[in-house]
Amino acid sequence: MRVNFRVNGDPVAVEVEPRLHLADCLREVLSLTGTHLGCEHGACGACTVIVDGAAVRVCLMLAVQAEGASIITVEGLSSDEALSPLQTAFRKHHALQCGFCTPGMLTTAHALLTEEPDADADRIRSALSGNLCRCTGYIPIVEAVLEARAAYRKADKP
Amino acid sequence: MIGTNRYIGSPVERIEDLRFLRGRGRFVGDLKREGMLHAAILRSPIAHGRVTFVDASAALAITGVRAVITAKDIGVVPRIPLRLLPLPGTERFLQPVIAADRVRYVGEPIAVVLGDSPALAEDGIGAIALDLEELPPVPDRHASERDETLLFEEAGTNAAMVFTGVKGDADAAFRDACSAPSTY
Repeated sequence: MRVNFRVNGDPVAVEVEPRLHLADCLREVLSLTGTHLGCEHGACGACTVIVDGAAVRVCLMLAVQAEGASIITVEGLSSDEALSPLQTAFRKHHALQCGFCTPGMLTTAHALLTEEPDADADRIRSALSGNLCRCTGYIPIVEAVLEARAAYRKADKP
Repeated sequence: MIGTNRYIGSPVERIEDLRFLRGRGRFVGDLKREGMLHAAILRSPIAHGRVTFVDASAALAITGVRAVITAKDIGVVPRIPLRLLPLPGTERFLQPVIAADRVRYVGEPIAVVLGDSPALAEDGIGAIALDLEELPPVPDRHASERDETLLFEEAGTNAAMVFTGVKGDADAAFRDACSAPSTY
């Protein structure tokens, strides 16, 4: 089936089997391997991307369901030149080690802070509760997201 | 005079973070090679049973399924060695790489399918005809101890080894002690 959607601002048209999930479509068809597959059943959050503003586990979404959608993956969170404030905060707070869960953490946190730039630590923990990390113990991740809030508040103001 | 070291005692930014944070890390699952095949594994759905029938012909008939490997296909290969404490006796209980006539745990490999994509390899798994004759499981040490069901019949027992540990003379130590608590 032919499907049209946007990824990180660029329009894409792909020919896919109806059963192909969006994570495999991004990784295998579009070669965007920054989106990771951990559990493939919606438990780990590694495959989270932003679909029309909402954080979505794309191992549970078919590629054909993306018709007309606008998708942001980890590759679209920053320009080539600079890290985003959220990515910078992750680096500063040592909020990653092996880096496998990081794309899902970043996209989940980006979707949250875009909607709720004043989210408190409890809200951040709740939003990230579906993303598993086996390296950090989560505390540095929450600290990084807390610090990144300032940039999202500024972005709101014209 | 003690020299200073700019790495110890101060935060150091990791250079690998730059690629991980941008989604440019390269993990094993990201690798692609020309002609690369994907494997899927048919695993035992039961804890203990006899493998009475495996037929892969329908799987091999699927376009994009390249091979099905069973115990029969790999012939005689060594059993999986123990990495830790390979003590005398344990060799009788080593597990096969692929189950031949017996499965001994849920998830034990019975066949490996190679296909052009993960989905095609999984299609192959679904097309394998498999018959298992269920045997009583040995779910805990109590059942294991009774030896009513043997997981490795040729060993004649489920007990891999018997440990006896002795250090010193505890009775004499209590007898000769100046005082000993009456209850402990």
